[in-house]
Amino acid sequence: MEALTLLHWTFDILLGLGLLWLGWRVLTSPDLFNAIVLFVAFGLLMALAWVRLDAPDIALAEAAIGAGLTGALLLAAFAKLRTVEKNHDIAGQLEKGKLENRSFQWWPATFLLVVAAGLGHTVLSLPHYATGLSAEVSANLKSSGVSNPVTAVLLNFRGYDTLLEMVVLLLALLGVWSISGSALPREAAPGPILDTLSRLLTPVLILVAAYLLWVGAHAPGGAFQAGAVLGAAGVLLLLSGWRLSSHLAGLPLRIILVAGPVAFVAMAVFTMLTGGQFLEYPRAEAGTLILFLETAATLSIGTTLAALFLGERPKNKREYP
Amino acid sequence: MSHQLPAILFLLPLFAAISMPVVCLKHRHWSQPISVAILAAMVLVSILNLYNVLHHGEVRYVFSGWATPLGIEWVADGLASVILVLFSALGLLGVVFTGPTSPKDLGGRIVHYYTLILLLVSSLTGIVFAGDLFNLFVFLEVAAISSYALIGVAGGRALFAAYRYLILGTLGASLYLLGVSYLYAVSGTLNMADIAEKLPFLLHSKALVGGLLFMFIGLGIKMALVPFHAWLPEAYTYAPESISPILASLVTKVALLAWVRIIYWVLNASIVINDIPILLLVAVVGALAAVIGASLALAQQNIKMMFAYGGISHIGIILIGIGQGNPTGFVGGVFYLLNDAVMQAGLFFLAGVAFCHYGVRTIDDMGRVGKQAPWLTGALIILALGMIGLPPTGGFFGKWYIILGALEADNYVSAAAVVLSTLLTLAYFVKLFEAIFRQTSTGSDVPLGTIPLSFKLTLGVTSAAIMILGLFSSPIIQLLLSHALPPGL
Repeated sequence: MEALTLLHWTFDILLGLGLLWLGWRVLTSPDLFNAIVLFVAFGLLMALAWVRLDAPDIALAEAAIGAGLTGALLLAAFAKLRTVEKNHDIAGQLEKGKLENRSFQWWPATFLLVVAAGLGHTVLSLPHYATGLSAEVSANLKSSGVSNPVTAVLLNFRGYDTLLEMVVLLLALLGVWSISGSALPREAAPGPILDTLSRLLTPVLILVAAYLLWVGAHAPGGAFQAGAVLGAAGVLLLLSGWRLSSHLAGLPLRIILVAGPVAFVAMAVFTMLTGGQFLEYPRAEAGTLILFLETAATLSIGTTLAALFLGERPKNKREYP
Repeated sequence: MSHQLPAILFLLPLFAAISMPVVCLKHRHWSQPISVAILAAMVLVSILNLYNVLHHGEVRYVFSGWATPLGIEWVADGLASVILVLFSALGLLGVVFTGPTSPKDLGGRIVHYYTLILLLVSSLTGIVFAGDLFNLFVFLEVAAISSYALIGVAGGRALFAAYRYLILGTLGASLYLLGVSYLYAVSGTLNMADIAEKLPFLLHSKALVGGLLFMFIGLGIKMALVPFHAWLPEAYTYAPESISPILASLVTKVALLAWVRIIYWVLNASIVINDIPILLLVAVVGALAAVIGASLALAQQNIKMMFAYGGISHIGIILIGIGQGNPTGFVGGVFYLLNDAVMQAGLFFLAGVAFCHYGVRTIDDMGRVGKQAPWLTGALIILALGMIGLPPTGGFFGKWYIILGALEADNYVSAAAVVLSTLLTLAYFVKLFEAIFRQTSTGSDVPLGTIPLSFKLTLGVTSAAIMILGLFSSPIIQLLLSHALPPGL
């Protein structure tokens, strides 16, 4: 037992130091590409830290979204930056992947120091173990329709916040689409390695997404993690040169993108019309309804993430909004 | 059905927004009329809701049917309902104004443009009604992300301004969230009323004070409080002409309102007056913002930039009222908030008309159009009266009550700050009028044409509203005194 605690301590200390070191390296690395790779590593270590903190749901989300998809988005942005910068003067610096102009800025540094000091000063006075609402959650878990408390909170007790999170994701995509141009989808043949990899991995990823979606009802998982994995499959396909065929890029794509929020809103209207409150599920049907909402949400999240990775609005003969 | 009104107010713009990418895919020119219709409906429903709240008391709407603290609650009280009527009306005017002023090269993106506007309006509803700290966070984020995108639509310099806004706004949101998690750890709940009940027993906790400070700094960034205002002037200046009015009149005000909620509803009046000296802090930062914002406005050449700094100084004036800790000051602050929302919308409508119709950007350009633009000059005169705070505009009564409140609290520094900021406001409007009436270049060779109906409508309605708020100030203030005061004040 002694040895095990010692091992835990050593591991935790190494983890903490590793996070600090990686964070510092991300901030100070003069090379953007290096910084992105380090950031992905930072996300993975962070996921480990969440596991150590006994929060497997957050660990899954951190690994899939914080490290995986954010990393992919950053790399996509990096690739775009290079093609754009070729035509500009500032290109000189970024061409080499170097950012020369990094003078130390006093105002942000002071501000951050003050925040860090405030955090350090107050964090120790937090209660060691805050129960929060977990007692309430477990007391009502039986009538929530699922047995995983995290899913119960996200989809039932605070389903309304989750609807808004879906809206935030849609907003992000519309934001990107409203400042970017549109491009004709151009397919490209992938190299043999990417080709084999995508053929092997895509079905597995889709299967994993479906599993995570299903298992969310009683174990860590759920719509956001499943959506992230589905999004990863989309990113892989996009990387290997696949593009959505042009007759699907218009209305069908839009329908899937809004399916998640629309399913939530439709459910809210339905529950209000049948005499309940906004999103108040009939207790007996709650499990089924949650699965239905999560399925729509997973499709939307996956598609939105893949579309964010692509960046431009796909178009065919005419330009879609 | 009447208890469902708050949820309907939120569902109207939300449902229209998320179905718009599908519905308007083939008919993109439908997006503006649909938005106008939805917001007009929202104005009606918000009036119904106000009527309901005034006659039957506040509505506490519990989402998902789970009782608090487990579920999420909305509180439609007098304050929220009054403000929402005005905000949805301003949103409607803003969308009417977008017709002729939207960037011309939007193409298909016009649909996203209106989707974003509707999502912004629905998030404002959420912030005004929120009774739950985390729910408030999510709404603040929806409002912020749609603002970033709407500013960025203009392209060019607007993209940089939007990016800077995004970075600072995200910092603000993170600090707010950090504060919320502190409060949750200490009190074990996210519901505002619930925290308020537990708070008197937690006052010794360092974590509570730390959490509150984080929340205040976070929201301070969102409301562009001096010294966190650096993102605002450029963002609102380079934003599309059609978007600046909505952003300037509504977005910073709702962050301020969230502050007010936390100070007076999560904490309560006796705590902030006696135990934690937060009100003093509010009055001091308010005074600084009022004076610094107005001085910076005086230094501007670009009229949108000038109005943006004017808005920063008015945030300060509202805070001075809120920070006095007596009903007079509080009601003065809230009444001034209502006026300021109208005036900011009016000023940016004016700047939009000046640019889109007359090609005017700077104060010197104003001289070119001066006397040939009766609508523009007329609206400017009324707006200036309101901004300076001369009777019979609403601005006068707002400042009057704020100063009365400050004197009641023996807080002469606050009163002096309001007066000083008023003098500075007078100075920058004198600068503007001087340019108009000096008529440096006659410039009558440019045919100006008649201005579109939507310009006349937006300028006319905001000017009229400034006068109406002034003429009917006493019933409005009575209403606020009897229905919008926080508990215990």
